[in-house]
Amino acid sequence: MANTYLLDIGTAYTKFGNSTEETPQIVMPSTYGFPRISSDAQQQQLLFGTQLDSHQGVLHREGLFPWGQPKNFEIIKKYLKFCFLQHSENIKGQNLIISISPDWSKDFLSSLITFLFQDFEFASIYAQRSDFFDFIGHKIKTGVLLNVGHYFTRIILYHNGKPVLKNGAKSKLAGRRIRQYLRSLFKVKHPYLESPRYTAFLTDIVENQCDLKLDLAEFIEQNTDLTKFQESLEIPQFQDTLLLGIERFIAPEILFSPELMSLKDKNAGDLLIDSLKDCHPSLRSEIFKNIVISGGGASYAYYPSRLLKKCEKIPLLSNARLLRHPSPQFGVWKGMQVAANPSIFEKYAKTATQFFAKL
Amino acid sequence: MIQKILIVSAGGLSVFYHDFTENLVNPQLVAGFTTAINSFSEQIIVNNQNIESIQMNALKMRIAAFLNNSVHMILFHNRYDSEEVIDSIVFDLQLQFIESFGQLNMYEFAEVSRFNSFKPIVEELCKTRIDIGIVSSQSELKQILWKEIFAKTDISDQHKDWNVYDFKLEKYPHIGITLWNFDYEAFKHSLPLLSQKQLIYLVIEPDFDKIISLISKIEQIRESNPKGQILGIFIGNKGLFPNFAEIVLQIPIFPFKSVDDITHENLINMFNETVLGV
Repeated sequence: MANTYLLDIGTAYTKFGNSTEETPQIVMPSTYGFPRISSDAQQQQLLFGTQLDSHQGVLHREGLFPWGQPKNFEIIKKYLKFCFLQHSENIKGQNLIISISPDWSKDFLSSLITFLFQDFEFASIYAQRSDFFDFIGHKIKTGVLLNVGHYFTRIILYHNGKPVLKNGAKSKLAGRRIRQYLRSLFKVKHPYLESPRYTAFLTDIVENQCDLKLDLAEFIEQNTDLTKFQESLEIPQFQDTLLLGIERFIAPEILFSPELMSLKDKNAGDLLIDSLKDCHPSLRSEIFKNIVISGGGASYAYYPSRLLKKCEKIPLLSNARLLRHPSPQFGVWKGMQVAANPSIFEKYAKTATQFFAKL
Repeated sequence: MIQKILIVSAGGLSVFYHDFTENLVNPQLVAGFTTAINSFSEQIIVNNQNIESIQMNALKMRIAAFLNNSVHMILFHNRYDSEEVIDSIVFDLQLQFIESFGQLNMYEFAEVSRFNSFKPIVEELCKTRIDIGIVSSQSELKQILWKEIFAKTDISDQHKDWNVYDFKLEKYPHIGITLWNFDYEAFKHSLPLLSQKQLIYLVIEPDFDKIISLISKIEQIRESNPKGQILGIFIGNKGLFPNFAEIVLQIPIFPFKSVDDITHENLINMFNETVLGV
């Protein structure tokens, strides 16, 4: 029997692996870049994901899906080839579930699936919106999805397994802002951190050292000893030390306080309130019963509590049931695992013949 | 504020040195450095181009050559000083120097004591003025702060206007300081005036939301007054608030532990440090 593989192309990370695995086997930054000096004079050499961090001298570094839109299909094709090559198992003739972004055009999606069928010879492919997978991961069909992605924080309302509106409300106050803000906090002491070379270093701090406080003002007021929170980190390849103090608690605060960076983007709480206003009154109580939180930006322990704090004056929101996967960055992955169940997969997946016949 | 002035002869010898601060430097070291950097620039750049200024963090070193490049006048002044004012001072000093010592052969001259007569001219010509804006909330704290600024001064002799006040720093008699009183409450209207101030002090209280609200204000000041220096006066040592303010606002902060800590002497020290360039 064919194995089912899962491919989740996120704006921050691309995850790939066998559906039987609890977590993806390949987790690679969705970025590409060019080296400063290319080894091939005829063709521009491309670097992907972690290659960018280990390579000496990167001229250009960019996300594959800046602001959710596919940047360059040829580069995406090469990136996916690279990604599949990292995986040791033979994927020829296997099944694939791919999560797609609501931002992608139909043309791009058709080209992507054609490429996957033709170049990797998958037996059948099931492509579905990532927000749908977020819902089925929690085994619900009606509710609100709050996805804190890399470029956008997005709210999508679902009713009986279908989105009420195709795109929903979104704000640029998302995961990447934490790294940007952390970088700006060290702008004076360590200006060279502006270099894309240190993106991985800062991302590591954001993911492993930063923490969102339930009440930052109270925390600042109640603590007096700064040294208790300070940690020296060696800046790779620069022979310098970064003294990380309360910056680690201030940086994630940007998700709820855009004024820290003088931004006018809406925070997740305001987006929820706006979505509630936009929702038809007859559906409000049903949809806003469950709020699914997903995305890497929402992985801080106190994220749901902070969200509730922002909406505490609105009973419908403050009484909602908040659902979050223990690792929200793998919320889509969990849903895709549910969809890998043969009863669901066989119902919705298309073989190459079915797909090309429809084209 | 002009901090130091040196006059270097053609051979790289410092013939005159006057320091307005207590941070004395070795004039021969500066003279040697200037001569070296000039001959270095002559070698690497065609057409004999001189180095006119060197920008440091808070200070600027101005090198002005005159008398057919036989004399170099070196001025250390703060970054916040107006270029036009410094230009005119340099020009006046050069004219006065030529008038007094222009007949001397600067290539052969060795008797430096002759230049001591230049000191009163320097002291007179290097007089500058600094405008400092102090922005605070309309509160009791403001009253305490301004009361201490006014301390030891008979207000009746001074201005009737409490919003503008001439302040004297005993340490630096050659600079006149004018303190301007601004309110956060009228920030929008104060911005055009703040854009003309060389130094801007923001009075910060240990309040999370108030500190965050200052971020956009600092941005507006920086936009309208790119050369002005912004500093914070933090009053009240509560938790990690002073550290938080320094990180978030990214400005140097003078912490006052409590309202009782706002004494005339502490304020004088703060002004001294700021005017010197922190």
